[in-house]
Amino acid sequence: MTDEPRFTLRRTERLDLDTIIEWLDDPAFLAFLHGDPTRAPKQLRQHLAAMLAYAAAPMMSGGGFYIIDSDRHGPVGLASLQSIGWRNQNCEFDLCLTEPARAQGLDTACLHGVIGYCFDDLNLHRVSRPVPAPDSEAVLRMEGTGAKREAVLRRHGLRDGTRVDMYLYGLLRSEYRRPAAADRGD
Amino acid sequence: MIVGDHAVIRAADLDDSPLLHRLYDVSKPRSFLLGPSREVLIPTRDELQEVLSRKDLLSGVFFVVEDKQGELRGCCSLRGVTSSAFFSEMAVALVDEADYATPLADEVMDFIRYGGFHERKLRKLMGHCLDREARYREFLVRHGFVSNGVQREMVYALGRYFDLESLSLFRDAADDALQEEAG
Repeated sequence: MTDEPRFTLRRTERLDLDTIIEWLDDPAFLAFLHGDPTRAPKQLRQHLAAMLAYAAAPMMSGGGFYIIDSDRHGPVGLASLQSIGWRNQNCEFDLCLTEPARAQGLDTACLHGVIGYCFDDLNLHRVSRPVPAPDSEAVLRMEGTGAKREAVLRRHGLRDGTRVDMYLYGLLRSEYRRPAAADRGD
Repeated sequence: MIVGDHAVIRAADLDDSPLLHRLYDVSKPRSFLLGPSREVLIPTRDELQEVLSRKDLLSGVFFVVEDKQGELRGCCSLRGVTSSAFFSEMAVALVDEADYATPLADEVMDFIRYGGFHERKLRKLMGHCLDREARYREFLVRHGFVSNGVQREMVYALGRYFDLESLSLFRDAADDALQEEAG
């Protein structure tokens, strides 16, 4: 057993809507959800409601948004699992944490929570994640999992109004460096 | 309809489905067959006919390529074009892979570049190829595409994983190459 908090994913549901709306005050979440800052609050709610309805699709869906839940902290952020290929056994993921979770330094543990969910619960063979090149902390965290920088998509992402390179990281299940406290079978 | 010296390029039509179905060959996985989650998708003839009947979906994005004798040689597409996007995925699928080295294929690429960079004002075209598509990769590189990298063990087919390479061509690089060609 370990004293470390555990993080797992669960599918979003309509009851989460108010919590997620609160999170939208954080510009990082707006960017994560591709929200347009010029959108009226009503439009944003409609957009989110549609997204959550999509995410509530059956388990064998092509992906969606998941709440990152902690046994100690409660909901701490959102993970997006997109383009889940059940034949290829892979997906593309990203995640965004709440400001308090980031301040508590939960980024690495949550990243492992998302990757662990993909490999151990969804039985995927590989995961990939696009990371903006200027985000050096996210780059280091991804490389700490054993992920390889497989591609550099030049001037591909938009960040603060500027086109930036995106690093595409790929991680095979056989390469995953699990943290010592991440033995989920105990 | 675009009539070149070697190729005729026109919007795909319902009547093209029997011939186009030859491209959807499960024994020859190719990047053109990959769906949104990068899985090999082989539509039935009925599904292909259904898609080809949707002019609203295909208009301006999916074209067939014929030679000057009227024989269908393949197809090409610009995928994921939206008003807010600055790039698009392109694909050229020729029935005979040896055709990628011919002037017919060069005319198809000219058509794709013009449609992407000048008609749609895109800044970047992206192409993908599986590690078994050497001739298609050579074709893309010959036309200025630069590799972004290789996603390992990305596509499962025929009992094994294939790597998927991503290549891109920027408008400014394409324009420079055309100016060089023009002398």
